[in-house]
Amino acid sequence: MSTPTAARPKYVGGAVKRREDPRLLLGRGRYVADIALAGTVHMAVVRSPHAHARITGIDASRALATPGVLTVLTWPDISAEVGPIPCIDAYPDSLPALQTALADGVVRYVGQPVAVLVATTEYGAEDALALVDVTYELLTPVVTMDDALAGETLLHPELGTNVVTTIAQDVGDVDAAFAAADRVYEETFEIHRYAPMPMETRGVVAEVDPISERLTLTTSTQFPHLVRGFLSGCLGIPESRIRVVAPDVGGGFGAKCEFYCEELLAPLLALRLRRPVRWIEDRREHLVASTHAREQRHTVRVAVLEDGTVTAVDARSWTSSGAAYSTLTTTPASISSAMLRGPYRIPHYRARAHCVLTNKTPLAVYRGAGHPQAVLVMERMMDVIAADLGRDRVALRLQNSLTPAELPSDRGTAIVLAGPVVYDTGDYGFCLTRAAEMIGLDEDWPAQQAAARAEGRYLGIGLANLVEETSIGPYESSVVRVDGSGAVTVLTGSSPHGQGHVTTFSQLVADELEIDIERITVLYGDTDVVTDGVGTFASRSAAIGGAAARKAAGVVKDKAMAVAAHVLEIDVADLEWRDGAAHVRGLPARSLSLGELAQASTAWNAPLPGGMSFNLEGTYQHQAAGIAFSNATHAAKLAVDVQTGEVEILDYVVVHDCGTVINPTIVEGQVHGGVAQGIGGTFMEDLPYDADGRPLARTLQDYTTPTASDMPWIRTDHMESPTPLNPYGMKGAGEGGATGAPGALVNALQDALSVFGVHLTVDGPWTPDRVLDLVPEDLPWA
Amino acid sequence: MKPAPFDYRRPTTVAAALTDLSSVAGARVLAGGQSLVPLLSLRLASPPVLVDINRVAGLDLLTTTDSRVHIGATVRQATVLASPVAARHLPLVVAALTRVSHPQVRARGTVVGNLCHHDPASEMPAVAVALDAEFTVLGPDGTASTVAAADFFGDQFEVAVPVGGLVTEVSFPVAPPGSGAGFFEVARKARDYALLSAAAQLTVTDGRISAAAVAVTGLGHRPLRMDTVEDALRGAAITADALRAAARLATGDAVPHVNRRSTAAYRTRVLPVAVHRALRAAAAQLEEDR
Ligand SMILES: Cc1cc2nc3c(=O)[nH]c(=O)nc-3n(C[C@H](O)[C@H](O)[C@H](O)COP(=O)(O)OP(=O)(O)OC[C@H]3O[C@@H](n4cnc5c(N)ncnc54)[C@H](O)[C@@H]3O)c2cc1C
Repeated sequence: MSTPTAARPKYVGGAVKRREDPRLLLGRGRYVADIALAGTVHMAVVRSPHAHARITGIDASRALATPGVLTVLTWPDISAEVGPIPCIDAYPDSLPALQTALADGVVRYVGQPVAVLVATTEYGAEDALALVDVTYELLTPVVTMDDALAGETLLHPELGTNVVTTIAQDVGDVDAAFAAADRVYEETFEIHRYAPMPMETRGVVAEVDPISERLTLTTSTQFPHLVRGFLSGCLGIPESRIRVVAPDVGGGFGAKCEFYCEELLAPLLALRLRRPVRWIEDRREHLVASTHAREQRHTVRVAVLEDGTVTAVDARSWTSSGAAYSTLTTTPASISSAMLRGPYRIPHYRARAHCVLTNKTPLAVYRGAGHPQAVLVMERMMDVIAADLGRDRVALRLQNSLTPAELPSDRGTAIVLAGPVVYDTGDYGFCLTRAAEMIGLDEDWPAQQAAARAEGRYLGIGLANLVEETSIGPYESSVVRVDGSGAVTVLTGSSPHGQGHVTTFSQLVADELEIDIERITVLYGDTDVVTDGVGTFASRSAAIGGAAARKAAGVVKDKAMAVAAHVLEIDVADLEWRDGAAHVRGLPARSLSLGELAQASTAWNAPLPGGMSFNLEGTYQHQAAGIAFSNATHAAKLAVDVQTGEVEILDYVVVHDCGTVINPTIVEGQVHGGVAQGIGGTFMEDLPYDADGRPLARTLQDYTTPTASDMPWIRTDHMESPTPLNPYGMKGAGEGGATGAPGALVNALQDALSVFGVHLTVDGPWTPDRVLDLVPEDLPWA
Repeated sequence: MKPAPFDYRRPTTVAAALTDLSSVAGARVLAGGQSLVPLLSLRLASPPVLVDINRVAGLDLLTTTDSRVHIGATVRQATVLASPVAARHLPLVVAALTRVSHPQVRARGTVVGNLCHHDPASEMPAVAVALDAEFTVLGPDGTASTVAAADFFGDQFEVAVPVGGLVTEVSFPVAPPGSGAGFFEVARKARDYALLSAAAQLTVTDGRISAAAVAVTGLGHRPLRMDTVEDALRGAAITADALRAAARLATGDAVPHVNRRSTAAYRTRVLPVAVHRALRAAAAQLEEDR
């Protein structure tokens, strides 16, 4: 029997250390590549070396004659058995351009799977790749957006166009607003192609479980439950005969929010060979075989009144979607078109967003999906307008920002899979004002800048406001279970890939049950352990999954109270829950702990009253009531070395609002990681293709990502505007860092170099040589 | 990333290593493996035999003799960086090595292996050429020869080591009293290979520059000594103007990089700047020491 103590401190809101870190940091994680099953055989994928070609012949005889090679499969060998790779975000009028697990006679990007083979060793499989002879007849590659839009060469001639989806957003009367405008600004922005580049590449192990004879797929994925459904659909096997496991996942950022050819091929081979089949993607494969991201062109026209009111935006965008639909293909275009206006009122809005096929790796979501592009475009425009009108950048933004009194605000747009855009809560002006103040953007700034310039130091400050879709539905599920020792197990359908679910979910459940966090175990990532779930993407886990877990804990608590009332033979109204135990009101010493109540409800006891089920367990499915919108202002201060083109980020500020914060350390970590990826995209990361459609970034020596040494010190400030859409006020925090950084950084670069008449309409990568090209050659040496 | 099949040998004497290297055409030395293993994994190299020299006796020594510091073939970059001898006598080597990759890589990578690999974007070849480093090269039959840095570096990824041969050490002259070293590079990110790097060592006697050693990498396929800059500096007093004027004389033919993305035009433009920064850093070190 426990005795009452002083009020227990709450975990939610506290900087609880990540519970998963000791294990991960000591190298005790278990990733797909760590899994070794007896009798495993190894899959290797023959990939297209060409961007666009017809396959004229595949001769596998040399490979098959090699000892240790078990099988080689090409499309005709499997086409009767497997469906195409699904796309879940196609619009009703999207033209079909689905990918098949192996090329169906035509290859459409370098890296596309053409044949698959299995050998008894990983090295043998790699050796055998060179022994599969494929002959090709080259077709004209469609590499650039202009090539694709010209339509002279079509990736899928039967579609009659390379533009496979067009998304429309129409709000107000755009034409009238332009007719009434004092000034009209038009710009075209190019956003380049880069990729999430998780530290762990993809990998799969597929086996037919010898006991249940069910198919088990272990895969490095963000959404095991969805993979189960996709696999079922593609192979025509009922979901009940499939188990999907996501072990530790070393980052995903969207790249693993996909269902890939290899996740279909390995199970197929395991079924045929009746042996475990393993494939671990190497980095060279990852650079061409995992989804790319970001590449878009935006043309925007903006209508403005003399007083600075932005009245309308007329936007067109083209997303270079690559050679085929990915699982999430239209989402980036959908989000950028729905969210372009960010926090600004802009009552009249029209967007047409086109998804365009190109002979490149399929493009999909990456932390922020279409938000970073939209933010870059809108925030660059705000600076362009401010400069032209001679207005202060902060004041112009404030003038156009929605105020808390104007929320909720139905924006009149919609995001595919997520629904209508209705901003819920937030104080955009506060975040902006605070960020500008923290970074030092005030009336003295131009003078400071000029003084530094006189000494040869070119400084710039850039701002970016963002509002982003988070916590999308439809739902997440959770089960909470208590054993006789009082230990609590939480099952969640949301499977993490580095977000710290164990910590935040424990915090929520610990607060609900009023117990110590150490008593909680969080399980996820195995569709047999957690039978129902959706996944981790769109900044949804903590808010939607977390709410489900806390609600499930509430169900357990209610049941525990009922059991206590039964055992103590008193009315439940005479009990109160405190400190992980049911206490009799007015008799503080008389109580039953969670463990005791769990024991009391096991099968060894008399049945519980009213047909109440045995065991202390609760299930809850939390359904999202709508999209919650987080917001932030990023402010970057940088210095450009005008002799070498190098850029140093001197200060970086993020003032953000993700509703109720569960754990500020984790939120800050999410912000920092996202900003790092924004820095990478803005200054380093690039996936260029040559004129023949061959990717030029083939290793991480070519594809440069930032490391800790490249990171500035990031200062964050939190603002909390709880959302009424969530029972605990929580919104998402996973993507804002990546969403705001490119806009803030490019605006800062513009600010630093505007004395040279620079007008930036490209997002990057601003490598030293490209930066130096912006600086006049005859500049005197510092 | 799976290497093609290869045979692995781990000799413990120089003689045995040479025998292993001559046993099969295409046998390759494995030192720290920080460049070679990635090449194997990418199958850009597939030598039939790897001769691991890490257990060969006597190659792991860092010694000082007759005004030179000798760095054995298996001495790690990290060992040199941590060595008081190097700190005292080889300030330019230390300045450059801190820009070579991350501590994890330097803990395995060797100085000799780095120079034998001769990546055109690597930092250390500039130092070797600037300081007139000397390589002790063994032929397959064990005959030793001393090769000057100026003759050691061939085209990119090529060095003057005969087939079946081995470098046992590299030596650098001890920096004379009154020397300052400066190293500067532009890179795409911290500790990446250089887009362009410049190494400079200035020695001052009686208020004037008595010796100037300046070289760059990243411009062409091999490290390039900046003779005109050195000539202009020799005999001059160290003034801001003198350094700037000398740096402006830096010229050389930039060639497109194999796989690093910066234009030749960029590197041509930055060349005098890089040389100038290296000279300024050398001058600053002199100033500090005074
Ligand atoms: C992530 C990363 C970043 C890096 N960044 C940089 C950088 O910024 N700058 C830079 O310069 N380097 C960089 N490197 C390369 C690193 O410095 C290597 O250590 C070095 O290039 C090779 O040294 P090693 O001892 O590892 O040689 P190995 O990789 O073992 O060998 C390299 C080559 O030299 C030959 N070789 C080695 N020793 C001898 C010998 N005694 N005689 C004859 N031939 C020999 C080998 O056969 C092979 O061809 C980086 C490496 C990594 C992995």
